[in-house]
Amino acid sequence: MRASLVLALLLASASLAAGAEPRPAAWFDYLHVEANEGDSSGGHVAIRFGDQVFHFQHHAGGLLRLARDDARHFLHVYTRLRNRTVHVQRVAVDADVLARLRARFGARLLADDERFATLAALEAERDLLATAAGGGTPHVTVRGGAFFDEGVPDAEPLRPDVAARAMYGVDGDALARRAGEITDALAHLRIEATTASGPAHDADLQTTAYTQKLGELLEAELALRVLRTASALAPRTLRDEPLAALALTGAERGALARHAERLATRAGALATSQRPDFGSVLLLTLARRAALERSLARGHLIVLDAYPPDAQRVEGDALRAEEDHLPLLLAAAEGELAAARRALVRAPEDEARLTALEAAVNRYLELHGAVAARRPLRLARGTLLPVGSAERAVLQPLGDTTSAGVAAERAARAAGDYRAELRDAIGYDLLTRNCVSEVFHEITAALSETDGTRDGSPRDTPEACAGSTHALGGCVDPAARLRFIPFVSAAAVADEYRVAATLEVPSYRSSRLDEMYAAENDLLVLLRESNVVTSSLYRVRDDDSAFLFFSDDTPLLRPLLGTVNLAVGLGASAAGLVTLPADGGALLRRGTRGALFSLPELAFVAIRKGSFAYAPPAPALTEPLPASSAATGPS
Amino acid sequence: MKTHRSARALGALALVLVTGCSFSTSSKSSSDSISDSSTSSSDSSTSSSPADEKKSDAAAALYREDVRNLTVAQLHDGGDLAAFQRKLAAVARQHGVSDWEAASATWLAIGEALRTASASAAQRDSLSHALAGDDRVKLGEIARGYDGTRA
Repeated sequence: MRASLVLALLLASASLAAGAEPRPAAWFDYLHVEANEGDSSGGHVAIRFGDQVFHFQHHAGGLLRLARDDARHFLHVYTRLRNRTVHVQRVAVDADVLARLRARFGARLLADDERFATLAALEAERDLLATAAGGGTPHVTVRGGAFFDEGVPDAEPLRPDVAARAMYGVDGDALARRAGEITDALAHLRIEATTASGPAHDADLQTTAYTQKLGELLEAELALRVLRTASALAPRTLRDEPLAALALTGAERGALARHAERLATRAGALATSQRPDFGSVLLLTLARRAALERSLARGHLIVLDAYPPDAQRVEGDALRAEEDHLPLLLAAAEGELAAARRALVRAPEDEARLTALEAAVNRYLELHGAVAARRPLRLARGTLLPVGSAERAVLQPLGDTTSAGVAAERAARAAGDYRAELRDAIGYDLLTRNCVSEVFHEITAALSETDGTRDGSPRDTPEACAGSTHALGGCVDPAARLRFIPFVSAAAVADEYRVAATLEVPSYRSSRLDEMYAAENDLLVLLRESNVVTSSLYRVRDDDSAFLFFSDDTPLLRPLLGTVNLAVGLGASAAGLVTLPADGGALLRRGTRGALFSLPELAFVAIRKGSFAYAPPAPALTEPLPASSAATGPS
Repeated sequence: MKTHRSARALGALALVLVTGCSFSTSSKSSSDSISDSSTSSSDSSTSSSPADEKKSDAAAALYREDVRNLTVAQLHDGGDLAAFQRKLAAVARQHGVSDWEAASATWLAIGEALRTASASAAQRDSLSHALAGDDRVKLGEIARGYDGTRA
């Protein structure tokens, strides 16, 4: 009897387990972003691995470049600010396939970064040599060149009686030898022919740019001089505001002191390092140490200014237009600052955490200044690492004017040739090479069972597709059946790949409307939120076209609403012609776009959805995704 | 003929509207950028230490992944040491690290790359000493990365 009961229980457990949804061993997500006016008006696609999203962006100059973004940030930008619903399809794979895909996209990211860095280096070289050839004084960027005031006694000397050598434990003879090597290298540096060798699509390129070498040598020379003379930190390079919110705790004092000691040790090692860019790193290390010492002396956080010199500034009317959102952004920045401070205390020797703290203080002070004192607000996305760049005149002899002229021509040809190579390799094409096609080409190449496809060729041949079919259940050829169009590609993924789960991340407006419908009278919400005049949710923005009615949530009325929107767009265009001399064509552009995006509405197609300057952060995707539909695609 | 041309134009317009990729961030409006640029890339609304550590660990793992990918490419494609060090520096800067030599994650990732790329003993020795010299700590980190062990 007991044995029968145990067996029955075992069988019951087994059947329960068999009925439970199987979880994929590994997965990636294919993201389809719906259309809206603005960039990617026809929609966009991306591929997600864990907390990172990869997607292709179209850069000025007609080049396509892979970008990587934090998944939550990607969703925030597209679903909240750009007000687009994102459709997620989770494709089940095994761990090896996932590793290959992720490595492929990671490699493509690095390759594209290198291509663009090479292009920038060649064009900088071209411009510098053109200036020299024309008889002007060329300038070169010296990273870290703005951190120190050479020869200016610091008003508050930190270590007035301690020589640099004792302070950083650097052997004086080694330092002198290194300085001599740098001086010698600078004296012998001459213009060479600049070439970028190798086909662009291999991304195996090494520039021998004169500009790059000169910059590194000037950075090294300056760094060693600052070390030897204990130059003062330039006050303008610091973010120093004695706010109560930045007062140091006891634990933070300890962490900053440990970090300052670590930087002192590293400065000594960097001074004799053989890495080509040691100069800029040494300058940053010395500047950071000085800032930390100042923090400890004054009892509040003082950091280097981490914004790039060309950071966008928002001021005047543009800043006033955002004044409702700034306190919300300041609150978010306070949260980030608190997190960065906690993280640094836990691991004070981790440079990445010091960088995160610097960035958090910088962003907090920018927003605090904008809110409290209406100071212009500087903007910069992503990681903020202080660079402290300064432009320095190139006084070294480059050669005579004739040589400079010949070199300038060569550099111009090299830059032009390289750009042309890039256009061949990664040039954007509406039909054959776009943000959709490249995702599938990379997937196919990663999983190809044939050799020689590191650069993605041969493309989409049956042999190359065999790997994708085996690993994912199918192969998507973006050139076939209009699958280069974002929404068509999403359908292709559903048809071809082993999709284990799907999820829709609603746009900000649609999610807020759902909340309103649940809480208020439906008709009231419908009428109030249907247009830009009475909507409690949407505020007219200069970045959006001129329109009156939202048509994306009222399909049956779309042609009627589109007709009204078309009239509004045409009216705004006409008014824009009148205001053209005053506003530079801003209203004319809004009106023209308004009319253009109203045309699809006449055919029941809604592209325009409006956008938002601010929205609360998007909720994280729940993991694992709910299996809202049965697995689709070939088994 | 006129109808045909109009149809082609409308078709082209439709294609432009329904396709297209996201333009690079340099072309974004100031309003988009204020909200997008005034915080770091990920949300920090949580106030717990475990959440902070998870975020830091994820960032460190991403850095190692990039260094690994770069080193694998270097082993595959070759190229001179100075160029590789410059690329390493560029990758490190994107992760908020200026002094990549001081970060143990760098050396672990290089070791991991040597294993991933199935580097020969000669390749391992050559790259390890070229980058780390005779620094025992760094060479030890590379070995640990290669063996798949952590400190």
